[in-house]
Amino acid sequence: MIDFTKMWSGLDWGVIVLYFVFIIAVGLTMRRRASKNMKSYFVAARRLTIPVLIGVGAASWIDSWSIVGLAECGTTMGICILFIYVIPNTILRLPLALWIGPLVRDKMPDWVITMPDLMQYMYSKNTKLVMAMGMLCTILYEAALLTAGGQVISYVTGINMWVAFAILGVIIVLYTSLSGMFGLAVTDMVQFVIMSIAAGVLCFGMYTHFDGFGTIFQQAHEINPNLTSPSGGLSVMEILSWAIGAVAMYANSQSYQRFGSSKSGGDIKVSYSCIMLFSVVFSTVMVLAGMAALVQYPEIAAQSPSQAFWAIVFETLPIGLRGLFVAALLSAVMSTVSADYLIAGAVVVHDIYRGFINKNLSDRGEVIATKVVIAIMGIVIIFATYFWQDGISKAYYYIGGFQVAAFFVPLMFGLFYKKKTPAAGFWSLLLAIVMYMVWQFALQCPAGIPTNLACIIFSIITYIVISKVTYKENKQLEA
Amino acid sequence: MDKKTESRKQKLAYFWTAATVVASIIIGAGVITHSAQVLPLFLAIVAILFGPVCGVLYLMEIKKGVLAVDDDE
Repeated sequence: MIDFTKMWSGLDWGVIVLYFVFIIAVGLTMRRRASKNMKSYFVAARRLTIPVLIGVGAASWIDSWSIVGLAECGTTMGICILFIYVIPNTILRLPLALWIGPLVRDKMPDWVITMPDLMQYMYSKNTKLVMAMGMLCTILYEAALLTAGGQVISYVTGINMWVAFAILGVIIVLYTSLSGMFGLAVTDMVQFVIMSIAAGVLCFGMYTHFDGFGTIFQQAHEINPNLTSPSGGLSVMEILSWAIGAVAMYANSQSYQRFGSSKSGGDIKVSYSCIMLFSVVFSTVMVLAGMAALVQYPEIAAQSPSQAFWAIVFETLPIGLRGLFVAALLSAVMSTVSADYLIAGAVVVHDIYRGFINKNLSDRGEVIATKVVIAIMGIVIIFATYFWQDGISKAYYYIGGFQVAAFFVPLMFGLFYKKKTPAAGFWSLLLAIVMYMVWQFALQCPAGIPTNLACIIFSIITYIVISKVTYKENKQLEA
Repeated sequence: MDKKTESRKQKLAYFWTAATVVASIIIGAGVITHSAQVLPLFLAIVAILFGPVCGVLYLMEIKKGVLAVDDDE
């Protein structure tokens, strides 16, 4: 066990405190702009332009998994993670940037501000309700991210882990509930800049420490030749499972919320294609840092890859910049968690409460209720970190996998399939959720077929069959 | 939004898409060939410049009033 507190200086403390003070100050100053109505609170009055969208898009996509998780993959799997996940991930997301995002922004009516709204527009109110309930399940992922952030604060400062969770959780709730998307447009940008500089500085640090990257590749190959093989000795099913994970962003509620915040579809195209470039570079740095950690600390890496990663960060960076890197991880956690708090608040109040229980709720009342729900949810999430004490590696597998398995088909077919019907959307969504539970937990992935792949195939078949059966019936009713 | 602006944005988007594909190829090739110098310098320079350049452009947008409050909204 490495004692990181000895490597943590007053200057690093200063960087972290300054960062927290700034984030809270933004929440306080932006609160008036965000308090008008749900459109200003949730999608920043649909006014965000290219550089702002790059900040909010990149900050919400990059989470603690993109840093520590990918570094752990670099340590345990080597360069293959770049070829089976990072690069396919980047290329497969390009259609989201070039076509789907602009389509959602330009073709949807103004009242569509959340993903359940989108389901109502494409299908029916019942589908909206199922989508809203399904999205609430994914909030557990935030507890996992908070765990990662709190653990790092605890590692480096020595403070109690629960105190760290509470500090982080309360700050996120404070600035998110006060300022909504207007506040996130500022904090996300700052967090994005911090992450970008920290990744660059870490890469330079490793470059000078190892005198180039040749040593890293060479020694990793000596430890295990699979670490420098593009396929990493994985089976076809394992590779397929990672590649499918790349389409998670197509079913990610944050992406659609960011699309709704943009000024136009053109702004989305430019911003998100820029984000892809940054994302592939950033992810590669983290994977290579994980490999460097293995080479430098093989024994620690065998027991705890994340600890070896932080050891390499602290060894290659000077004081002050260590604080900056910890701030980068906190930025990754906070920007993603804050975006999901905002979405969860809107799902509860806008989609469920106003949509089904109290339709006469005023605009202002909706914003206030959303703020209250964010605060309650934030406190619940702090306690929910208890479930991830043994590690967060399964969080992305279960919850990211659930999103793809359940939401991907009804969303994509709803946008592009000409013969879509409300019944097809409703049943494919509902049955895919049931199928996920059965395949993953009851059957435990028979024949090694990944749950997300099985659910997507099942959902496509369900969707097409029900569309065929109900399309003519719907046309006759319309006539 | 006029057509000229939209077409400019379309071209910009294709440019960044091409840049992303090229960067992916550079990274893939660099890793396979165990590039000791070019790959780390490429990654470090892109990462270190990307955020601050966006930050400067962001400040220019803020000056134009992208986050200002309109009372008529």
